[in-house]
Amino acid sequence: MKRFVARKSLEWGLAFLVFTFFSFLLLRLVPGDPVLYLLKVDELNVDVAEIDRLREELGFTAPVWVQYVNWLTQVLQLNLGNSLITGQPVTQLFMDNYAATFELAAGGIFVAIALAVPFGTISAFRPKSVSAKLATGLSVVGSSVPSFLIGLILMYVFAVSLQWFPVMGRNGWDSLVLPSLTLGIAVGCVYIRLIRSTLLDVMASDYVAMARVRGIRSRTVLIRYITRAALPPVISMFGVSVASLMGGVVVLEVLFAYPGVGKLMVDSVLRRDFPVLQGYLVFTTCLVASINLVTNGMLRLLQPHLYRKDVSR
Amino acid sequence: MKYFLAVICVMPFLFLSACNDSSQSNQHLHFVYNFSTQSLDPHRDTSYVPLRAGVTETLFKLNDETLSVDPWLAQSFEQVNETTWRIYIRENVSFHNGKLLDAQAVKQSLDRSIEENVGLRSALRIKSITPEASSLLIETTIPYPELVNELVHPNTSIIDVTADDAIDQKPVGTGPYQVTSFQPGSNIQLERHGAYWDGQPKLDTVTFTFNEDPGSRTMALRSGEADIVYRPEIEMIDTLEQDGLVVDKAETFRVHQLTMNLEREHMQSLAMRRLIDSLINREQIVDGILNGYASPAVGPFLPSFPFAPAYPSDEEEDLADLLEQDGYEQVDGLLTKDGNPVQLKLLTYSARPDLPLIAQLIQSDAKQVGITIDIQMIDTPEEYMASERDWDLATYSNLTAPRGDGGYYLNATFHPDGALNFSGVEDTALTQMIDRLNQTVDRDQRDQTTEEIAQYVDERVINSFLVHPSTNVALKDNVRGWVTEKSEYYMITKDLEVL
Repeated sequence: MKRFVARKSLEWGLAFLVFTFFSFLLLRLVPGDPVLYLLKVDELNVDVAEIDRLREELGFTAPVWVQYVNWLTQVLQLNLGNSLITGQPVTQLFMDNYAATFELAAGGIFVAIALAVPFGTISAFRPKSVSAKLATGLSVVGSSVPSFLIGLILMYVFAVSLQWFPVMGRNGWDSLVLPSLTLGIAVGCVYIRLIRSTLLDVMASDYVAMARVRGIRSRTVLIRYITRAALPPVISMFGVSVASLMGGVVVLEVLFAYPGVGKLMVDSVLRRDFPVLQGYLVFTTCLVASINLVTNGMLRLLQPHLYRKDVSR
Repeated sequence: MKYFLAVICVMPFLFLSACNDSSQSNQHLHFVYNFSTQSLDPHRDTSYVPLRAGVTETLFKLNDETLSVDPWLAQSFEQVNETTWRIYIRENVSFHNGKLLDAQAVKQSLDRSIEENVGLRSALRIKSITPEASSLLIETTIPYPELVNELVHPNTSIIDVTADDAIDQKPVGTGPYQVTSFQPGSNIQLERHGAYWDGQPKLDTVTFTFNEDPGSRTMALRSGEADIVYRPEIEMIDTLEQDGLVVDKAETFRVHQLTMNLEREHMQSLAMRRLIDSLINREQIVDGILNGYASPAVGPFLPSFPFAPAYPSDEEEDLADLLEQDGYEQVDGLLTKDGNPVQLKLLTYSARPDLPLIAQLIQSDAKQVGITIDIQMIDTPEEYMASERDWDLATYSNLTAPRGDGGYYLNATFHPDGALNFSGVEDTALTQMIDRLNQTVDRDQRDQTTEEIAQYVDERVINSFLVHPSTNVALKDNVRGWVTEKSEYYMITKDLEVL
């Protein structure tokens, strides 16, 4: 066990160093820095000498590796630094914005599951029913229409016409309904098709046919054989979707004025706020790695035979 | 049992009506603004929300009608000598926490703004601030006549820096409204500052929401959720007016301009610059691209400024002779020089969506006279224009006299040391005129010198000025006291009310 932990720590440590160095390098290679923005050259009377002086003061004239070592030293002390633009600690900005992103992601995933599981299942088991046709139509429309348009339509119907929910803001559960619905429809519609096709594949497999021939009850076949076999591809895909949502959904954040980490990142990119961008990369990488770990754990539980050492492949 | 059921049925309605009654007695306004902020620190916030939301105030204020600077938290001021100013602080002004405003508090606030904001540190040129009994003595590093104008800047807002609350969440200012809560990037909840020095604010509470999507802002107004929406969707303005909402607009201090790189061969020719300038169809830009929400620009400054020159009306001039003198000739429908067709590179960027459209219009008009223009999209205009010099023209937009004085724009754009001198202007006469302006304190003389410089720039066609974009605001017809300011600095004021 100790050897396993040591080996994994070394692997992760090396991956962290390589990833952070190259991301640091790439960010510095992009033209531009925040100096002109900080000096507000488009509305304050600043001379050229001041630009150079500030660039030096902020350390942007030092070699990249020196800048990287300084940053890494800070991070190893669990300090992601301060935003160059607002002066706030990066961790504080993340706490404010990730909270909104988690809310949005949770709401969106809830709606997506509520939509995809019943519709996907019905369209696989009762392909000729009205519900199945509705599910097919919904999945085609939902996955082809851009999410901002879905948002605007929902906004017009439920906020402007019916006035059931607020148009925008982050004030209580009711302001989460429309963004969650928008996100859930966009994500869930993809899953309707995935669940349907996976279930159809599994249902057509030999071992399901054999189970039925052996007279095993339909309910048992459904739960023990079909569902269990259909879940792994859905869970793998789901892990990717959750990781993607955790990175922020900038269009919806802007549309509904629900400030998450996606909008924060776009602003930081435009303003070249390096500490925030670098912190985001570190934080999101850890988050995505954790989600992958959880996803792998779930897959192990569902398909233990694939992970046994003595399995013959 | 029946009575019990009746009470149960009636109770929700009683509750709702009680809520309704309380909302009627509470004067509340919901304002939706088009930029967001993560921090309410008035000295760093680049969206100037604390000032715009009526939380903070500055020593001086720009008068929107006269376009001159009026004292605000300052009572008055005097210039002691060419580098020293005495500013008298207004009496009986209190911060939101009840602390009285005095010279020491103003000094602490200004010191912090200079420390936190590198742009202000450079622009204010303050050497020392000395508090006196009821005034502040400010010494500048150089003779600096624009100091009072620069103290209009929102980042010089006066706050109580000794207050317990975190400045980035709850700044303690002197404005008519105080922050009760702040959701970064989403909204601020405000309540009336009962002890406001300039009369009782008419609203009890205000919600100041940020939303950067014009479609959502417009829907918020149509749904009745918002009372005032800054910059609604332009395409929806007719619909809003049909819905009985009020749409107001005002010119801004911004100018869209065509920056000319004078280091490039073709742009060194005055005749060529005149030709390019004459090609620009400003009316078409106003009507076709900006849907009427702009006015044609003849120079960098709005014509209502006292220092904006009275430009001569456009006269047909025979550019052909001038172009010929500079070596240009028409060959097979193409304008050529030394046998080579004139080909120019025009930079534009998408952060202001109207600029790429303007660039396309100029490209199309230039083709008519045989000039080929290649358009290049760039990401960060200031960075690119300063570091890469391989371009001839660039669409650019900036504020020209945001605080009622033209000194900032002229220094930044036409002085060799200016941060926005992307044209690479190094004109001795022009530099001398700007240096003279920088030494001039008398208001009338400053206006006169600014006018001379603007005229000089116009005669030599150093950059071409396209349009002054307007700003538009939509509001419910029961909102009173709203003024769409040219400066866009003051939005939530004590005079706003909802009938």
